[in-house]
Amino acid sequence: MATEAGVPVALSTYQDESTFQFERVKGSEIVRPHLSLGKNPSRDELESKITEYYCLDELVEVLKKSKEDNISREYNRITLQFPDSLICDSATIVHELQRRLGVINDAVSRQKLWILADTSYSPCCIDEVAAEHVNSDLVVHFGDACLNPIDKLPAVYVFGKPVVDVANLVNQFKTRYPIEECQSSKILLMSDSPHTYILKQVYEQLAVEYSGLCYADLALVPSTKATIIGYKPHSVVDAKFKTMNRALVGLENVEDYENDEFDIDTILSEHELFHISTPEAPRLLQLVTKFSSVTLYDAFTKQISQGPYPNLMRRYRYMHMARSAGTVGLLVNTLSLANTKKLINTMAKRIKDAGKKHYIFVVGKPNVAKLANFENVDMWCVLGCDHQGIIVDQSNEYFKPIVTPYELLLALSDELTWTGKWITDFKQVLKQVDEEEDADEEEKHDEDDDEDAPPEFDAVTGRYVSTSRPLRQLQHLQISSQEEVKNDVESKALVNKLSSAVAIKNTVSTSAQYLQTRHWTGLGSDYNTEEGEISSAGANLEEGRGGIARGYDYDREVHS
Amino acid sequence: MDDDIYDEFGNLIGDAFDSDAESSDESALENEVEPQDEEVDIESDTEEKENGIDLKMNVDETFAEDVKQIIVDPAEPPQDEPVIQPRVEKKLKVDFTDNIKSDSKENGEASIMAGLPEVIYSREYMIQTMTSLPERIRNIALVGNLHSGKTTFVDSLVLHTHSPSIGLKKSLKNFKPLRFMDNHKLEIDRGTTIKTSPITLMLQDLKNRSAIFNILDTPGHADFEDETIAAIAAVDGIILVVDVVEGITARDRSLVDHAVKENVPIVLMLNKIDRLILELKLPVRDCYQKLNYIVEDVNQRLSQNEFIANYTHSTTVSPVENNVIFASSTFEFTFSLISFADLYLRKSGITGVDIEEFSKRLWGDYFYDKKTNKFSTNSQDGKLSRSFVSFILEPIYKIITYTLVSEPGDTRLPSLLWDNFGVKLNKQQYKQDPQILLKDVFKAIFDDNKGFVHSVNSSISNPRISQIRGINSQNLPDDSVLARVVKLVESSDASQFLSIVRVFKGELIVGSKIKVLGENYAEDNEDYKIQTVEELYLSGGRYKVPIDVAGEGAIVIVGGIDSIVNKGATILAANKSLENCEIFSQPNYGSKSVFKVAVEPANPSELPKMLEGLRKINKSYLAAVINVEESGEHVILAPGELYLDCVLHDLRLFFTDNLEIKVSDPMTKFSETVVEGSITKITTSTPSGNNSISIIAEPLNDSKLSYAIESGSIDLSQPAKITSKILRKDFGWDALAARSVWCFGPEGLQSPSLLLDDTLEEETDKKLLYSVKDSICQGFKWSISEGPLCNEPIRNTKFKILDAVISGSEIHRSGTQIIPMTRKACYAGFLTATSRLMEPIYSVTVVCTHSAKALVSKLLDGRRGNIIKDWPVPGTPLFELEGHVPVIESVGLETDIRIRAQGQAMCYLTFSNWQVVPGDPLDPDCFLPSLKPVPAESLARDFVMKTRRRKGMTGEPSLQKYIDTNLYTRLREKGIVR
Repeated sequence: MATEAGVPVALSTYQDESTFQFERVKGSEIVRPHLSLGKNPSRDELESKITEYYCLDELVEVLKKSKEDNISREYNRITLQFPDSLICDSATIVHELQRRLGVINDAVSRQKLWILADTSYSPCCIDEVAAEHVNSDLVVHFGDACLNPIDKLPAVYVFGKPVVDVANLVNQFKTRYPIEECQSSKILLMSDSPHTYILKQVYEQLAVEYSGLCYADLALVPSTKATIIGYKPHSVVDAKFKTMNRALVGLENVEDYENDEFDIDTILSEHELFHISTPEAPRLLQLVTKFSSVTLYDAFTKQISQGPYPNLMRRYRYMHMARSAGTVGLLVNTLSLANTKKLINTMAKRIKDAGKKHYIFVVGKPNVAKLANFENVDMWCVLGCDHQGIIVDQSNEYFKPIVTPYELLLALSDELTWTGKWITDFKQVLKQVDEEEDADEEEKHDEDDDEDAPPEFDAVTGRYVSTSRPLRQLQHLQISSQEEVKNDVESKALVNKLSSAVAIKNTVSTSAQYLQTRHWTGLGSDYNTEEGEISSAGANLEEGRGGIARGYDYDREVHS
Repeated sequence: MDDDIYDEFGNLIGDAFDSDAESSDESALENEVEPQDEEVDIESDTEEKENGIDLKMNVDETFAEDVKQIIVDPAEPPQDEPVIQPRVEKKLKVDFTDNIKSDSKENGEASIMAGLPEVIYSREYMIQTMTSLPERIRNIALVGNLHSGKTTFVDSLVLHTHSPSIGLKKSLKNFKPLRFMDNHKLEIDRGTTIKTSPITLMLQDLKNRSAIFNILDTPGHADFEDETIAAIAAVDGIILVVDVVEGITARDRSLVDHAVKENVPIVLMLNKIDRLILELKLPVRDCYQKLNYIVEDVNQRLSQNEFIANYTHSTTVSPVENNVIFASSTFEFTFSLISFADLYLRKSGITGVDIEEFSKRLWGDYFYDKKTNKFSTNSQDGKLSRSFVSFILEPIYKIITYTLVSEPGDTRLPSLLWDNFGVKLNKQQYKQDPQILLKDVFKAIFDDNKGFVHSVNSSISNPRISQIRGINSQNLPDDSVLARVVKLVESSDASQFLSIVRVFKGELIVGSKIKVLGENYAEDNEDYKIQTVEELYLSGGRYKVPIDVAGEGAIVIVGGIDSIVNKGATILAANKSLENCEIFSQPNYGSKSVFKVAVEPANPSELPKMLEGLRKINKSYLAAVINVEESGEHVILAPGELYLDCVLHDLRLFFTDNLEIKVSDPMTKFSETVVEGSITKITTSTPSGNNSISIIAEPLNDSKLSYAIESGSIDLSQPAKITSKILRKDFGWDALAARSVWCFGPEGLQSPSLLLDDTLEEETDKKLLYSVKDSICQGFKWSISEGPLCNEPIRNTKFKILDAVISGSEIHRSGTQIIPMTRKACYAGFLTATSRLMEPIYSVTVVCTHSAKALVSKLLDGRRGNIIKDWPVPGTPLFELEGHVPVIESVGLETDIRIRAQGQAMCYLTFSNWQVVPGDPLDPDCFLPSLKPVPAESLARDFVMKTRRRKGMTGEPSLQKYIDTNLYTRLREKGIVR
């Protein structure tokens, strides 16, 4: 056992031995509702179901594809990405693939397969970073996917083919939209990606009676390097009506939209949505804001539901809170989405311009406890996939409110507006920023009197808040800190405490400020003498822990 | 503005029923449209070239010379902008000074002074006296029930001190009061005061010595209690104005209570004594009884007050003590015993009689024997009448009788006046209408308000010696500045806010810098700002007198210091260091604001405008609470319907330019509570498993204690020993429990939920527990400010920490671990303890005739309300009823009663208490009919589910969310939870 020297790094999550003892799987029963197996299936039955469900035949064809020289295969390092719900099938799939690709027997083939489990960020997105750990040249993504464009790697989507009781679905649809009333109502059929394969069938059955019906087929971004296995979108690639990675089929015949001038959002707002499967909160919120009504059909329970749904107006309150927040935590919950880096930088700049302090956090699978660790952050801004990666706090669990970049942008603008839209696409948000900046430049005003600005009125509490712009005194601070630099040669203090703000290397640090007010102020604080002077000896530097979270160096030594 | 129809204050003096005049009155107040058209001129130029001269010639012929011509081509597509941009000059408040200022921009300050209304004294002298002799200042507030004549009384003082022109142009045809202090459009329209406004006047006492009176006129309506509270905070004494016919009403009683709590002296003004004679036609002896009854009523209320032990002023009111004044504001006279005695002595020329001694014999059980010309304490079996009756009431009765029957040529009245009071009127006056004649007669007799001034001077201390309330100011150095922003008033065009400031120490000088400390300074030490005093005024009701210096004791209007002021603030000298400085504690204005609506702009793009409007509402209306709810709605909370009506009017018209807003149906605040103790102990631990805590909830079945907490008589900022002593002695708690109270909540220290540490030394490491007390209290407050039922605060619930395991490591027991854990534990305790919903209840006071009684009780029955008791108002045919009605059912009750009773009943609604809503909010099997009234036993469920839906909260309130799944299943299996 290591000695007492293994004290955790200040402010990191506390770890001790128990942290590294992994939970053992307790139950041996694995539930696979998606495969709709009978009770106690035999191994063969299971294998055949899995092959069928994941269209392994087709997948193998793709993987077997050879390079132009016809000798070696195109993809040699293949990563298979599974969401938590499907991880139970991973072993079987890998065995099957290895067998069929002849990886085991055939020494010639240099193909290697990896399983990417426990995706750090949203499981709907392709985890490029994890794939790059093994220099993968192809990612096979299993399960529901958001189809959002990724930056680099080629990818293959395998959604799986869940069994759906189409007759029941059609019946439920008809009870929800009685034919007498809704014969010509505008209704859109949509589903998550695994269920999309049945949409055409359902559409054809219903379109006879419902003249205003259309459905949403999958649509990949044309430039993407991704392909879909087990399902071929029926729609053409350059479909006319496209939104949220879906192409709307059945609209072409509607007269209203025949001419080329149409606004996709208006079209959507005229439609009622019938969605098969229940989407995650962010996606659902987005759907609710776009359509005139939303009905969900759960293919497992065969029930329809009409709410309650996440409420957009609740977010309006958070936006107000963002206005009076002094410190904003940029919570990066994706690394693979296109434009992520650009958006982080843009947001950081905007926050700084607004006189607020920001910190950037990269946290995988954020939860209440993880975020609560950063007490001094007043407001979180989450950058994530609009499918599953955005935290929509429905029951007020989180210690501090969480907003999206778009909402934060609204909050940071001088004059507060609320559009009733909920934009999550990074590209559109960036466009918004550019537009605003253009407008800003035109009327650039003198900001010299900033320091004298009155406190902000916080509409949420009806109070005045003076802490909403901690960086407002920045200029003031710079002047004084420059003066101090001269005398600073002898001073060993890392933290300078200036009149009312704390600066670390000439930047205001609200964290440090917060820390000053705390009872426990971090490691080494116990070396302070009573007068607040730092004793000359200080603490001894020790080498910390190294390695990755899966197993630190020290841990390996101890346990191996 | 048409001069013939309006007086200089914009009051309509033409025929009130002339609809034309009425509508032009509106436009005159709101906006004047003047053409302003530089742009359009250019357009017309081009137009001329194209269309030739013909058109222009035509126009010239049609219109007179001074008409401006704009020629627009009708073929041009219509523009969004109107051709002539109307110049909106918003003016919803009468401010005479604005007119003068615009007239005399070039001539500087001197001409502003010259332009002000004339007064009978020199303004310079008044200002000089005020700054050099603070002991001559009296700061008073006029308080009392609605329509008790407060504003009219100020009118009589204004008329007395100002040149007669200010009250001129009044004929009998519109015999309506001047209402000099009511200068907001709403106040003028409604004929009732809604804002506290100050006026500074110089008045003379019996010895003709001048005193400066800073008088704050307050609204009488119970909805505007906030304004009254603010006024009382600024003054050294209050004048309680009572309509003698109605007697002491519920509103007056609460004012007496407040005065005692705030420790300010009370002077009782028995107003409208003319009504006893003219309307009720009371016999003269009964008249005395009636007056005496009212005085005793006040004394009884005073003696019952819980804070009376700490009251440092006279604990009784009595005419003998010179703190009761008799008045009739309609006939513009006031007198006290002393001033009446003075009248006798002065007019009859008797000397050698001690005026004090004489006056003391004019009230109470003193009888006057005409034969022996002596006072006695024995009525001789009713043969002798009381001295008050024979010396004061009988002459007044006589004057009134003679005046009313007076005819030109009748000599009885002139001789009565001359013989008894030594005054005479000229012949012309006797020919007037009896009402006006009566006024002139009283004016001639009583001459001025010296009795009132004398009483105030003797009963209310001057600012030099009066104690500064709301702050612990013993150790203030002499050279410091201390002033208090009591409230803000908006300028007449709502563009800026001015502060009403009471100077307690030092001087405010125009151009000097001061430190303004906001109300949150104690928690947020950034909440202060150094600002410059830009403007300084003495108020004159509808005009402002610019001054340069405001000294100790002054109540002045200050401009330019409001930027961080929300409702009130503390002012200190700019060079004062802020270490250990205290600020004036803010009254809790919003605590009775339970009535709410949600607003949103009709046009979403006007949101910024609405927000700005709301910000101003927040500054302007003390009791208005603005917030954004869970549901994302902007919510305005107010104490009552009338209040909210005024707020919405101002939001639409005053603080924004006719902004269109959508207003939701009225709603109320709710609270959550428990009615039984928790059925089981549930232990909650942190995710890391290092800490755990068990909290149970119990009802706090002690309305007295809840009241004590809310009224601030138990306060945790006192040393713990005092708190525990009170709990033990007054509320019968055992010593252990009394000592272990940790926290009240959720808001401040004054909401009646509390947290008790009920752990045992043997089971729990107390030392560790204490080390996280702050975090636990924080978690506790968080949880009870948003209860689990529908996110409304938890009331009347006692939370007990039964046991706790706290980690020994500092990092493990950081706030982030403890706070969420405590929150969950509180919820678990709450939901296992038969939770219920609570709603606010109004107490209803109705003054009505006997015939309207049944009607009122029927109306209340239909609204889940009831009458508790009723009693006759002595000496009148009226009855006073007292009852309760839930706030949510009270919408429109006031109007309903007025219409149905056809003016025979007046009702006042004030927030009284919280009551449990019938029904179990967690019962999923409740019968909830759609489109029909919900049965009483399902009400709670109905309210909870509707509130949840409105707030966008998903699903059911359930214990499941807060506890371990296994535990929940076990509890369910055992049938302990549903």
